[in-house]
Amino acid sequence: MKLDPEVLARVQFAFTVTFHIIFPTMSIGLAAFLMVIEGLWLKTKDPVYLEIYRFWMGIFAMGFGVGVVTGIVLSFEFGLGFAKFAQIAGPAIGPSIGLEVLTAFFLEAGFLGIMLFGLKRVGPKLHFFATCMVALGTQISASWILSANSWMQTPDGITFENGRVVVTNWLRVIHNPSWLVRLPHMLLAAFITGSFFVAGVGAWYLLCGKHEIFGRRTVSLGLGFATVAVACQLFVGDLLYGKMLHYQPSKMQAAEGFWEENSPSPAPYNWIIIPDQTHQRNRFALATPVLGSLWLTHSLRGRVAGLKNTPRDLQPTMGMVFYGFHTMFIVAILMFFIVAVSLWLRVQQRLFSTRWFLRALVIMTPSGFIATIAGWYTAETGRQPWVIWGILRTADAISPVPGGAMLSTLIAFVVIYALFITAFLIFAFRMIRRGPEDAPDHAEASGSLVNALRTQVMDHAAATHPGEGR
Amino acid sequence: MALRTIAVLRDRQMLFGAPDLLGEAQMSAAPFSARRAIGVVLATLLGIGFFNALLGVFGLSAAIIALLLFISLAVLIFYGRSLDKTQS
Repeated sequence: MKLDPEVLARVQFAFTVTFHIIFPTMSIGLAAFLMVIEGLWLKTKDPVYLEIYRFWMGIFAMGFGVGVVTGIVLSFEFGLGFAKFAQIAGPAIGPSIGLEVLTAFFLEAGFLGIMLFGLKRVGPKLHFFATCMVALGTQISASWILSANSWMQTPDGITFENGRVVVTNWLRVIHNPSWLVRLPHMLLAAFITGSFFVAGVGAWYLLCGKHEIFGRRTVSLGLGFATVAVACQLFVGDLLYGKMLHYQPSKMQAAEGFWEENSPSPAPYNWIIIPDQTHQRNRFALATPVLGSLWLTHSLRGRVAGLKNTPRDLQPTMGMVFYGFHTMFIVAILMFFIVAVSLWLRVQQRLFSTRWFLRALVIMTPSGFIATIAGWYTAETGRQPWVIWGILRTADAISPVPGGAMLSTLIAFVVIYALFITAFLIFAFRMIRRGPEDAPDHAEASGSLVNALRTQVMDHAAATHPGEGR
Repeated sequence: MALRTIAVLRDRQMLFGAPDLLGEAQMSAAPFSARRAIGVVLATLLGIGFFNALLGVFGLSAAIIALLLFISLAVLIFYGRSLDKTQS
């Protein structure tokens, strides 16, 4: 069997980056949430806020750790799987990633210890400052990464000389045409993810009849943040759609599932399609009439451009882009429904007693992660066949590495990451099941995974057999 | 392990099955009045209106106004109906 290094390199990067993005998204969202919660605690001195802070700090710490480790892998992958990309685009991309380390990581490293271990060791105001700095660090980190990725989507400020990118204007490299819209889109995605995560766990406690005050407060605050963030996201998402339609028309043509150069007027909105890339048509399409014109052209009779406007060899694979985009959009619709209903139930004073709504919140707990991953799939698969839009094709960016070597590292990543996610889920579920009352004042360093597991098992045994000593 | 399984099953029953813990009986016993039905329909229409306005269907200016209105409405409701203060 012949192994294609290009396909394997792409699968490997897709796998590792899909796994990675879960954790920074959670870290950015939870860090901002913790900052607000600690601020509310300082202002009101209400102990429930402190309880919420202590509980979510533990889950934040775990997510932050896994996010850092899996993020480092990606930098190495630029060299290992995409060496030609690193060689050609290094002068523009490298400094952005280096600056992320110098600004965001140093800031986070300086204050994370105080945040995690200093609740009883430093004054409350200094501790709050540390939390704010960690939250700021996560956002600065996202800014640099989004700047680098946006440059790959809409490159600017460079010339191409002797087969390499030469930077002519640093400001335009960083502040490239799509960065200022993609950055808030990603930050809002992280805030929404954190909000639904927090609200979902709170709803679960309410449904189980446990930790009721904690559950009410987290559901209320989580939905409060989500309401504002989801509304902003719809607005920013539409701005980004317009921007990408201008700079990357083929991506948006694929995202909407139209093939013909111009759609019928009025255009339907496609919900489900079975695309046939070879014959440039849809074998099946489930659509709502007129809605395509309304949502995509903001008029009743507007036409939508299809993928045949792009030469075949420059077309992305429609199925990947379409379903990435539509997963994100459908989750966004569900989120808007949930926050709108939450406002109605709040007015009716039935927010915490409507069981179907609480169940829906529990089901929506991972919705932010799903939408974020789907959004990134849209962004990355829609950019194909380019790795740097209009400059470097993905096929020309791959390292000259045998397929077998690429496959072996892919298998290693799958095994190691499966261990990571298993450990994360075991600890996160245990922390959630244990509840906020038993959350420690600060993160506990157990020295090793074995010790940590042993402690958890012993805690569980003590909880289930309270009469027996250790 | 058995104890843990029982605990997980108990939680699942509370989630999807149903000993009534939070007043579902009160809700289902409440009459679904015509006034409430009209309220639900109006709220749904308002929600659809906001959704489309935020997506820019009525233009950029309308989207900005809708965003400001929606956030103001949410903040007003959040502060006006802070349930955990009155019910906890």
